[in-house]
Amino acid sequence: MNTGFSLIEVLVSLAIVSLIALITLSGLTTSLDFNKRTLDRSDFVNSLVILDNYMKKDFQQTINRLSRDARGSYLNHSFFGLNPRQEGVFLAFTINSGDISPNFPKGGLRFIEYIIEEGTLKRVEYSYADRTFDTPYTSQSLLKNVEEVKLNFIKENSTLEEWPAMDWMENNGLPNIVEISLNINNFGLINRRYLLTGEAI
Amino acid sequence: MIKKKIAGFTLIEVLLALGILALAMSVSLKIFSSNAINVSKLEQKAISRFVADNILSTTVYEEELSFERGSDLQGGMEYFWERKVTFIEDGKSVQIDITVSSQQGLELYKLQGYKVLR
Repeated sequence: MNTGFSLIEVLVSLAIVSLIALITLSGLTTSLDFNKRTLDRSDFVNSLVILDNYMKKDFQQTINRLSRDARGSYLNHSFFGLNPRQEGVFLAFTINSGDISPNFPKGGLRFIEYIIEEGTLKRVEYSYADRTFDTPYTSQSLLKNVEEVKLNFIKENSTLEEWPAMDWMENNGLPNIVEISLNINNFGLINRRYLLTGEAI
Repeated sequence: MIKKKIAGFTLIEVLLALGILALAMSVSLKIFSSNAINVSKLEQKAISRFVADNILSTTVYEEELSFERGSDLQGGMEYFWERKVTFIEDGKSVQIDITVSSQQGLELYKLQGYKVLR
């Protein structure tokens, strides 16, 4: 008795199996791809919220204080902000973080910089407001794929594109509101408006 | 010819395997799609908070306060906000209630703030 398969049978079964495999595989890859996009989106939203939390807290804690730069001379202004035409620092100011470690008392004053570098928005926090060349700092990459950063500073009903405005040579304190709009790749434009409440100490 | 036992699958077995495969795939698809829905909900929630906070920042700075509503475009999506101002009995401060809803009228975020009048 011949109990084997004929060639036709083998071919047909092969075709059926490959068809099933194809369907399953394409279904799986689509769903996995879809899931990856979902996860990426979720990561993006996460980083957006983290960035917002940092900025909100920083602007709430901003103080009107002339800090020293790394060479030891006082800065002319307590708050710097400009629309980044290229890469580099676009916001720099001093905060009173209120974060005083009991083991290593050093006060809560910090110098903060926001930087745009190769489409990545970074936040740098110096451990002391009056920096030296070796002041320890932490740098965090907060948001990727940033195409453009646009800033506006509102003070007493006038809107400025830079802070301090070019014709003000003396320290002009803090703006009332900092407006930040970020153009993010694959997401679009997002606008935030932060209130500054800090007073001079 | 040597008699051999056929070591293949029966039709029932193949069908069962296919059924299990289909079930697994549909479950994974369901999980992924519910994931996607949750993520977009979270995104709407997070961004509606930005919208409400933006309005509160402006409100604190504004001189004249009244009921207002408007919309804000964030990340290609439109969010609708409504600002209610209630004067508190002492006459020195106001309570500000901001509600942000989606295009479909779904309430996304509520924010309450206070302002001391000058």
